[in-house]
Amino acid sequence: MTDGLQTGLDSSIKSNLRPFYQEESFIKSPFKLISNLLNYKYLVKNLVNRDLNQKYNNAILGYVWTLIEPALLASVYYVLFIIIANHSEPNYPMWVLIGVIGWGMFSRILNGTVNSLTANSGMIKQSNIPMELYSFSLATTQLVITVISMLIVVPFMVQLEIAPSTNLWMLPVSILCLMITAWGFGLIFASANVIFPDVAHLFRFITKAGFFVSPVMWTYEMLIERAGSDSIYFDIAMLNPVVVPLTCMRHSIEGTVPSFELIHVIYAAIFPIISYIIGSIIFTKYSRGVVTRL
Amino acid sequence: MKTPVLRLEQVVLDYPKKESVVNFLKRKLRAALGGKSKGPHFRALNQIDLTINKGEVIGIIGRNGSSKSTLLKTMAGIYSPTEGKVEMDGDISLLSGVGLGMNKNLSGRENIHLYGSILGHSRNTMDSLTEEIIQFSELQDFIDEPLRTYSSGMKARLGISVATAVKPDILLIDEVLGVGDPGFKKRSQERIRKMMDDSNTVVIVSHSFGLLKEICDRMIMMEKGSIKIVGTPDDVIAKYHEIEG
Repeated sequence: MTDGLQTGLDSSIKSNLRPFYQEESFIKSPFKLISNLLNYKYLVKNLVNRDLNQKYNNAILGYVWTLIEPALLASVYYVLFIIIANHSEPNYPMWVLIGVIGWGMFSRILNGTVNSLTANSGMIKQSNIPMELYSFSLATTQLVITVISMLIVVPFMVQLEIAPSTNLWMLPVSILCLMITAWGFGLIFASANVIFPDVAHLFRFITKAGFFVSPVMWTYEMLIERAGSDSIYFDIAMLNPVVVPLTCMRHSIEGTVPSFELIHVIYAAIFPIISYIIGSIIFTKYSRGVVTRL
Repeated sequence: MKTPVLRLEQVVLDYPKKESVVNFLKRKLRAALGGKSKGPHFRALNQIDLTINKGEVIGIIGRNGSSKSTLLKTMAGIYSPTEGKVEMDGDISLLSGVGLGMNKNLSGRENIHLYGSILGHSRNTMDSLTEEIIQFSELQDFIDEPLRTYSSGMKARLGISVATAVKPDILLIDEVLGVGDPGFKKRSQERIRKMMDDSNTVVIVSHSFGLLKEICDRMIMMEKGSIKIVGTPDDVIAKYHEIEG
């Protein structure tokens, strides 16, 4: 019955047919993802625009919410801290605020990326755009929100009489470090989450607990003061990849230089790169295969 | 001269069924020890062999659940086949679910760009086509209004206008042509015919036999994941009615 269809199989006819997904060496995956992002940058822009619009369009205060939300959160933590620690450090509210903004971005990108395939299943099953774009546009949206949120720090700087310094260069670098770490780490688990939705629950727990072991309500300097830089607790705490970038965010605003050991700086710089490389390899290998499970 | 632009060879596609974590791990362990690693599954496509040539218009019919859409999605590269291979030559655009990813708060114009970029088109392409798309959709008066104010017919018109504005080498269409008022339906059909003239390749899944009969060169009838009949539209439709009564 299928005779009529076989005409094209005649070997005398030249064809340029090529498979959809070429088996490529896994070494190429990190570059493949970057080239996909560049090829689809117009789509990323449109998706980010859509998501920002979705989030703020119907709200009376619109984008002002990006400023109010971290400020309200920070004030709650501040009150809590004053009650518990009876501490009177004048810069403390601003520290918490910066921590809340940085950590908030990190945890939203991480959870969002882990969920990116399940959350976009409808679109994934109807469009063949590269699947990493869903999580990347989510990460970019969060980046934009974070940059806007950082403006809330300006009134604190005025009140505390902090002038912007050249150390501000650390701010974008730290924020990018957090973004890439969260995205790359999330990519490692996004495909697994399709098979076992338990993964997303686990990550929700990790980011909730992670809040307390990350320098949001405490600082790197408090850690050294309380635990001592030669204690095992200090070493364990420094395994957390967000300690260095969150601390750098704070110092960049205050115009001071954090006193890290070299090894911790190297760890913080390498972590996002390794996360991205492993994430892109695993995502490229497994994501297309799990589409039939969505 | 026939140039193949899309070829499926011995394509098998299985949808995995849900299984418990324990069974999954047991199975993986067995696989690691060299045993059978295949989990519970539902075979959606079974041994599909199909070659589509440049410029052809192919219609796919079949009952609900005969895996027509799965076949189309496998052609589009959304599903990667469990066995066999899918090869293609050129850009493939799948038109499925009108206005995929469109947002109700964005204006019609913004949605043209959003949907166009989801279909894989560049900013330049979309910039140059926007006016033509608006003209074709006949939504000039509403184009800067948010999409939530549109009727479902208007949304569909906008979606189809965008999807058919750019000419991909291979266009796959899933059940979306039957929208809009009769006038718009007629014009979409004309537009698809024009795409055919530009020697683009079209594969359509549809239940509207009248339309398929008019535009298709060949038709395929699917049954339970296999190709049951292939032939001229008249033959296939006649046999379909014979089988389905």
